[in-house]
Amino acid sequence: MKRILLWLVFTLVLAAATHVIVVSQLPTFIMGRVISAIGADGTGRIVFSDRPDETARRVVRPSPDLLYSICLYDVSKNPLKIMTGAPQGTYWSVSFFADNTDNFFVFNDSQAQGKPATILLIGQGQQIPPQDGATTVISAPSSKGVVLFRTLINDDARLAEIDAQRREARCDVVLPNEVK
Amino acid sequence: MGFILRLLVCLVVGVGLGLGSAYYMIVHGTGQQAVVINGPWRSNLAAGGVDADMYTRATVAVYGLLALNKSETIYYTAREDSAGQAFDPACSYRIEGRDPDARWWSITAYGRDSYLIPNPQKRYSVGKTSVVRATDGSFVIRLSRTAEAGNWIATAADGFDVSLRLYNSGDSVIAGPSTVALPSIVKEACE
Repeated sequence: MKRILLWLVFTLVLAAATHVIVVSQLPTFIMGRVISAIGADGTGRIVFSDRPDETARRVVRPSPDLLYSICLYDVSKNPLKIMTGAPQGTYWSVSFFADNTDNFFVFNDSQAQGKPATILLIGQGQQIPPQDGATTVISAPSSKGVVLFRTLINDDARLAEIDAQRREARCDVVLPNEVK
Repeated sequence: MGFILRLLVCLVVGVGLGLGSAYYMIVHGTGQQAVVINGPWRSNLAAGGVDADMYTRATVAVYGLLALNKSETIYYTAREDSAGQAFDPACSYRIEGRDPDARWWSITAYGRDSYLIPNPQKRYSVGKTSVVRATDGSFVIRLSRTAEAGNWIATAADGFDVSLRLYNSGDSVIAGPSTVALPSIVKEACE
């Protein structure tokens, strides 16, 4: 009887451990797949996606009203400098996601007041020279993750114009001592 | 031999129970904190946030990867109509109401695979800047498999759900996400 109870406890502990590991690690696993799908070209370089339709399969539940631009970050060695561009007369935002899917920072057109903004993403404990007030410095909670730009197509007739304006955004890897 | 057999059985049953329960919790969205219900609409206010619990993170990773946190966007999802009945792909529905309190909003239908639903007209969504309103400011959006005039979003034959995005939500949404006025969803004709 005691032996059966031990086997039962062992099975339940194993089930609980499996459950917790799967649930807690799934976000990191799925983000890792997305990062792999975008590939090394996405680090320090923006991938500008077309307007989503039924063929858009990289990320679930895309909005067909937004233009997505994405770059990857790896701040384990060097910071990433993001220049937002400033599409006019519509909503846009740039959002930062850690490797566990957390959206740890977002900046939008209202905050930018219609002007391009510069955001410097640094790793934990990374030392950089003091920045002027025009640059927003953010510390990433994970060394790798995703920077996602959203630009609203608020008028189909403006699609080409909005598309051209969102392509002014940049993601550049910079050396810590080159950060100004 | 008996020991190895028992060990194998326990391993298979234990891992199977762990995987099965994880799948159930993620697919059914149970275990999540900060879930609000507003008529047919459900939202997890912790989605995308750094304070999300592990079930919310897992569900977001599967069904809403790269979701913004609630300070920027609140996402509602409906899988049933305002009468509490699950969407029937054989039926058409009417979404009616007024502009939600947000700087920009959109309503989008997704297939069972959580991707946009193929349709020749490419009518996947209706939003604040594309919706056609009545003179009193109200609107009616039709959800159906066959094209309709006016505000229309295509649905899928094998099932669908609907997302309501509220970008830069207004104070009334932030103060009362479960009580603020949101569009209702009414079943119409079924094939």
